[in-house]
Amino acid sequence: MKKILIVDDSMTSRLLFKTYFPKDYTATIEEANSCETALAKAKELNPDMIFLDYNMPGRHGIDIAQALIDAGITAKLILCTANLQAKVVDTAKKLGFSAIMEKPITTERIISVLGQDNI
Amino acid sequence: MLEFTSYKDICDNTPLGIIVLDRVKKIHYWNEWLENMTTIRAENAIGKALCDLYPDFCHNRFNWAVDYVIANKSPQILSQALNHFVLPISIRSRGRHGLPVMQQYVQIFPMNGKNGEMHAIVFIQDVTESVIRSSEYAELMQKLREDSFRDPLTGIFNRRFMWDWLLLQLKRNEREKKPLACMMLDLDHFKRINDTYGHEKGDEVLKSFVEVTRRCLRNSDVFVRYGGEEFVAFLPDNELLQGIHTAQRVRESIAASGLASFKPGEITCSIGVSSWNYDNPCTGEDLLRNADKHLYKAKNNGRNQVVPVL
Amino acid sequence: MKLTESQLDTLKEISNIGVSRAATQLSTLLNDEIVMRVPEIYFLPVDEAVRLMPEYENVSVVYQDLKGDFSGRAHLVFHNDESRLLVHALIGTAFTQGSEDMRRLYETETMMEIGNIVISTCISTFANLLKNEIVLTTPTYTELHVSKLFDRWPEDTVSMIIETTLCASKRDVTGTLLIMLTIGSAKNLLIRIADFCQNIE
Repeated sequence: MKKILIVDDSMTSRLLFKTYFPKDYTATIEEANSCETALAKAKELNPDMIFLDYNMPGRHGIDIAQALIDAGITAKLILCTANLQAKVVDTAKKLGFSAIMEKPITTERIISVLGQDNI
Repeated sequence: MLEFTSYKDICDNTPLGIIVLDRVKKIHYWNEWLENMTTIRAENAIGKALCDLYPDFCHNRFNWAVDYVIANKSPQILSQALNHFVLPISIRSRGRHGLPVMQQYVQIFPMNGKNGEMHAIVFIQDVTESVIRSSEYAELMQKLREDSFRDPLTGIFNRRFMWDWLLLQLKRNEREKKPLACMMLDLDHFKRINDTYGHEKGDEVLKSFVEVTRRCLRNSDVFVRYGGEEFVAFLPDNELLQGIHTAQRVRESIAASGLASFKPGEITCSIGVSSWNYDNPCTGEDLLRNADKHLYKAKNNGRNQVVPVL
Repeated sequence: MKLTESQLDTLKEISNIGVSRAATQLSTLLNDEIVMRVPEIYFLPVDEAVRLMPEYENVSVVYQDLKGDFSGRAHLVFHNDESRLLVHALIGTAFTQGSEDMRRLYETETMMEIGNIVISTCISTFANLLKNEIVLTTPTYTELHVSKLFDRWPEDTVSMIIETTLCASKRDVTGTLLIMLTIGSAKNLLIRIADFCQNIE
């Protein structure tokens, strides 16, 4: 049973993620809506995967990832974004993101990420 | 129903490139203008993708735009400014400005195909001429910053420059239907200053005058030393009224400034303003003559003023 | 017209995706990194919206009309000075030697394409996610006093304002996406959003 944490300030987006998450993949999904709650939940849950929204007010997904890594979190990191500029993608990869998932969230896209070798 | 000709004839006589693409970007139509410009015949283009015809040249923005138009049935434009061209077409004979490739303005619209499938119709306009013209103008302005067109004392343009420039400018004004205001400025009692204080002091006053006046002008205004103490300023895109406003600002600034260690108010200027308008055009000579007439009035009316008055 | 928290949240998320896609496309076009700020959304009657617009007098605007399931007009509004800075940052200083007119011609062309991209991607994002059909007309460029954007609309028109900042590596430019919707379309939009939320709950 995999443990998944979704970090996104948008309630709609988190809801979409849970709705489109493939039904035949056994996992529990927890939510966080900011850097602080993400850190807290990650420490508490020790998730296998963390899906991070890129565009959040305050600190964006990549900064939050840095904070998680600094705190010793070893979960696989996945960036969720509609902003697929080369700069963003490169920075994410360098930081150690395992995958980048394009928004809007769809079941196909989630399945594609889950099926990657490094996840 | 067309009586005298066919739609094909119309398209083949259209001075633009017309391409029709389907959702996988295969060409369905390639008009005569394109055949002539690219030397690719329609029968060799139809059924292929642009990437097949030009394998070394893949235009990301264009591809995205075509996909967008077909998916959303809404238009996309590709400016020359940001894209330069979508089809690499060489134009050797026009290359004297280092532009070996045709510059293009492209518009893409949705179009319904016979089978109900959405297609994209691409219009390609050749805008090389206006791009060349704009760089011609830029080059001229660059050249004209060089010394032979400058007044050695004040550094502003000299009379020789003015006539060349004015000719070009009025041609553009006619094309673009824009106005041009003209100010003729003359320092009051300048001969007296020269006689009383000497030429060196007179020169200082002229330099100071130019400095103060320049601050009231925009970067695009052209300021010329016309004679000893006579100056002309041209204000592109300004009507007479705007010209008069600027002239008043200049007059006030000069009267309020202490030029070359003189006290404020000791040195003043008179200004005559005229304008060139598209619906009542005159020659460059007339434009200056009118400004001169007004300047003369200003001098006769007691100096330190602008004519016409508002 | 009051929005529930979840409707506003959905609008924000859809706008976020739309503007992100626009930033991606602009980045390809301009071959530069485009940084965007998370958009703020306002959904208001037209007389309140005019008070929210920046106090700039004259603005540069690119607009396209909406047809299909929604009727109205989408504008990308730039403050004049900023738009000029954007253009200089994007196409370099090739035109410092040229005349004012040439610069303005280039500015207009560049703004048209940028406006077209931002409006197109945002509107199509809404259309795709809400499963609606929205067709846009050809873009038009104009410069006018900001109050004139609101003048010609009937009283019950609704304004949806998506405010964001797009920064090309050298300059900040604030762009406001102002979408005017007829009252019928605005109500329809909220219904479609409510449906969208329901389908995911």
